[in-house]
Amino acid sequence: MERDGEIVFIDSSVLISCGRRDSTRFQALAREARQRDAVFRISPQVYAEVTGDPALDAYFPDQSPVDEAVREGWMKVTESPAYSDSDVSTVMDRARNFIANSSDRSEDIVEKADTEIVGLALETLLDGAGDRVLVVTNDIPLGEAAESLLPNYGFDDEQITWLTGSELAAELAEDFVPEFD
Amino acid sequence: MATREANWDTPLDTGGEVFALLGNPRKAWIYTYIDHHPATTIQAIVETLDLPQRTVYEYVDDLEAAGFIEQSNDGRPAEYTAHGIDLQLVAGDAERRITPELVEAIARRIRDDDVDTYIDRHGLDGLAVALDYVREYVGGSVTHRIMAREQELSPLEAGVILDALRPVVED
Repeated sequence: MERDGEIVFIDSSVLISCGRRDSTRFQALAREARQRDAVFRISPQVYAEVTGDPALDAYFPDQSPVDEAVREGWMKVTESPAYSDSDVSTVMDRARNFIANSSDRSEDIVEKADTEIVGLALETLLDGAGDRVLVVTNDIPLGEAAESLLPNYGFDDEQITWLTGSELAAELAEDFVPEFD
Repeated sequence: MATREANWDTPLDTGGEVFALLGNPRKAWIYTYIDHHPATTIQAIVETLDLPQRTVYEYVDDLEAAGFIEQSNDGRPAEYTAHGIDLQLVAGDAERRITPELVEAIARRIRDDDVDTYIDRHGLDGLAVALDYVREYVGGSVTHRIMAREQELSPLEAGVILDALRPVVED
């Protein structure tokens, strides 16, 4: 079971950063899941982004490691958020507005995929499927949207945490080309 | 999903003497190393970057002749220090800046397959555009999906290049 009812959502920005299955960063992600005794969750949109892209072969010739992670059981693909729930659809609209403002862009440029994680996080807390939610993304506007919007629905700040990949596991920050540093 | 081919006619992909630095990743690598380590010697470059001594001598000469680096001591062995580069390039509607960060991004293709693949697919011009997004990304004003939409890339490809170039901007 997941520790203390903690549910962890991973964004594609982090999975892409972890790279190939044999990379130390991807191994570190797997290790982190085991240490937390958790099954990391990804949304259907995130799954599509990291498995169904024609550019995948150019960058990840060994195929996406995500399918293997799902087979190994430490990652699973969730359902889409329940758009019919007005709280969930409202928080996604607010997230879209939040990200558009942070980015100084029109809301048209922010689509469902950007906000799906925020919707899923709220749904998890509303359903009582978890007491605490960890949103793991390297996209700063998305992480800030999750942290600032979800408490408005009656949850404590401690129940919602945004981490970047390297905050989740310090090893995820390593193995960049070091010669210039 | 849009996959653009590199357009080798865009500003940064065309010729010109100053562009020798951009077209040669090993030369870009040597420049970047000197930029990060002022007063460095040829021997240090050879040992750290694991390049043939003859190549390093030749490229250091080229870089010095072009005014990108200069010898910073009077003695021997010679020590070199890099000059900043900041060129504004305008062609039609496109404006590109050539900076040490761009040179470093190009240099990274030697050791980073993702940067190499990205340049193959989108050219140096595409790389320069990506670098602008990296600055925004690190500053917290854009997501990888927004870059994908605005540049007609897939989120995967935007995520790959933002992640690969992040240390260039964070250094």
